Amino acid sequence: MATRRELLKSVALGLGAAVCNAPSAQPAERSTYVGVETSAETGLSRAVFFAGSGERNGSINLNYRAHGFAQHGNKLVVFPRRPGNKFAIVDLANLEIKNVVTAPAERHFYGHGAFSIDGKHLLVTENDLHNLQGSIGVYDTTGSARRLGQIDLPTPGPHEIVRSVQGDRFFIALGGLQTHPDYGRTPLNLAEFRSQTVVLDFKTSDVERMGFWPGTEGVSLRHLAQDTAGRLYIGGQEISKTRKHASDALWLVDGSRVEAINLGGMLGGYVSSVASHGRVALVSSKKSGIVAKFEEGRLLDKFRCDGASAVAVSSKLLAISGFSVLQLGRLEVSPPARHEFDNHGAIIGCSAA
Amino acid sequence: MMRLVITSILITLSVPAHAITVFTAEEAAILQQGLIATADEFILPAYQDQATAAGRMNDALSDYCAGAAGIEKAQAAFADTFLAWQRVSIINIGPIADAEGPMRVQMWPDPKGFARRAVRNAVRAADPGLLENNALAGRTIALTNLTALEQLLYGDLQSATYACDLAQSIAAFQTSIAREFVAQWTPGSAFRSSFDTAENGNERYPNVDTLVREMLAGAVVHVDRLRKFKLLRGLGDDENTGRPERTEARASGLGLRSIEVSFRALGDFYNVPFGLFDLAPDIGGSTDGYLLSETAASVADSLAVETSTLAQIVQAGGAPADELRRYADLVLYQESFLKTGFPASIGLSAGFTAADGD
Repeated sequence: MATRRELLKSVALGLGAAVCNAPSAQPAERSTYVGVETSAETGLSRAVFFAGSGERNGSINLNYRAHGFAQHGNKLVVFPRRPGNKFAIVDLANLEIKNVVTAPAERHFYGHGAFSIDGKHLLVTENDLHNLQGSIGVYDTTGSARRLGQIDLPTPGPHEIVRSVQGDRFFIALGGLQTHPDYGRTPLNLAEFRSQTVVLDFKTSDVERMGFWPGTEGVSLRHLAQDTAGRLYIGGQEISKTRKHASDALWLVDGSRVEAINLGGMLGGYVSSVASHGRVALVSSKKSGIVAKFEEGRLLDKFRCDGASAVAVSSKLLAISGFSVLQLGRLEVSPPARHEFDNHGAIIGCSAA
Repeated sequence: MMRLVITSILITLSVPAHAITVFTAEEAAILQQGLIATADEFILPAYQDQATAAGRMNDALSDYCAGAAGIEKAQAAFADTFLAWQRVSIINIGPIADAEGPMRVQMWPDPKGFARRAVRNAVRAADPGLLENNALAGRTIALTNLTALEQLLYGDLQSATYACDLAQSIAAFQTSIAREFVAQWTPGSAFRSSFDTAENGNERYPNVDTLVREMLAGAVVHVDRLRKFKLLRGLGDDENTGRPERTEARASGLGLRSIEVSFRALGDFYNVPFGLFDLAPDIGGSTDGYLLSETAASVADSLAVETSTLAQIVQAGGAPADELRRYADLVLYQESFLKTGFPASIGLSAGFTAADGD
């Protein structure tokens, strides 16, 4: 198990201008991390770009509360928190919004999306408000973004979608809960909901179910990430208080093996976000204020961070944010007064390599 | 804004759970004392009122359905239950936040008519299983909440019918969950023990910061709901956009009383002797709660003497409707205080809580 000192040493190697080897580049090019800062007064967010030195390189005001990101090349998509109905596509070359895409009528987004491997298509998790079923909206992002159509999902509540290391196959966490914005965030099928993960083959539009795993009863699966060896980490949130045993709401799929990870309740039955790079994965819980670090499926270390939410990791950088602190490698950055860091962040640009 | 972390960027788990708090032990103890007083003097009595009223409603419906009494008594008990809920709905932490949350008690607004359809379908199916003891537990909340019961109770409900028995089942269910809230807020219960010991950190509340954050976030939901739904949903921005059919509790005519009680609850919430807002100034907390409580009480007093229903005011428009819109503006000050003013005054970040996550 790595010590904290070793961790710091490893992440320190890639800090500062050395990350991009381009100290004279434009601010956008020097950015290594993008996070969300949300105003406690307005509830609106901005995407904030940081250099490896912790310097703020720029920000983009959004007229919605932001949630997750997707990136391909110079395209960065900032998704809204459920039940937002628009997302912004940002040009990383100049940190300007290139397009704002609005969901079709009677639909909203869930806060996540992922690019196809060639970057031409964006797959976005959506809620069809006619039947409260989940679907994947497919958008062409080669020009001004336009919606091409949708791929239906077997159950409600799709949340995070990530592209597999094997190409245009996508893992999707289906939370299982039916919600409608007219009823706030109240689950409308709590008594009978089940959550699962599915695999979407983008070439054929086939959706393969990974099955309902034992122990997921009463848990809504939300966030997931895959390491380069193909291990899939899936985090959820305990929704039903009728569950007999509290768990960490975290599962690991390693080949054909599916395992509920037992951390002794360390995550408080609530996983805020999951990130992975190489053999490493990070799992955060804003409920317990814990970030767990895994390597090759084994718990390597654990850290405390009040309101732990966003986690991001690359070969050179590790970022964690809580309510009022962003730990960017060895640096600690605070949000402006009456703002807090929100649910997700992403490593961008050359640091993402 | 930015500083090099000289010590360690990440604190290991060897640090006790309660270590990440912005408060000193003395400050945390003061806040804890205020929270306990708020629970004892405001929250628990409010849930007890709700449970008592719901029990009376259940009994009155039993009498009515058996042909032993008129419906007026059941409707009066419904009004008491409904209004007791409006008061305690400022509390959005603890047992009420479990499962489907507050909509277990009142599912409104209901723009899709889920409650109406659930009632209609249940009456049509006339499933005797729904009338069995505790049979509504785990059923769709569209059928088991007060909005559904209002549909029945103010919709030509006849005694000695399936619909009447269903209404009583809903009343019994509401009684059951209100009593459960009382049990869980009673000192000594598991939840209450967590609440009362937050300053020391426990599994539910790692520190008093978390508890204060959750309580404030719940109150923000209350005032946001008061402004957007109870007031402006029917009133609209001006006379041209008023829509009486969008007002709360139109069938029972309790919409205006609901607004009155919501303002009254807000004022009383701030004013609990030795409660959270009363003691917070001892650690530098804002005293604005006192003035805001006066404002809220004043609005409640004004509404208490109004004889028209909310739907009638919206329909008629004019000065009374404009006055209600002004009240909606006043709520923004309450929201600002609860969301940022008060927490900032005691050094607490607003905190997008786990319940606020996704």
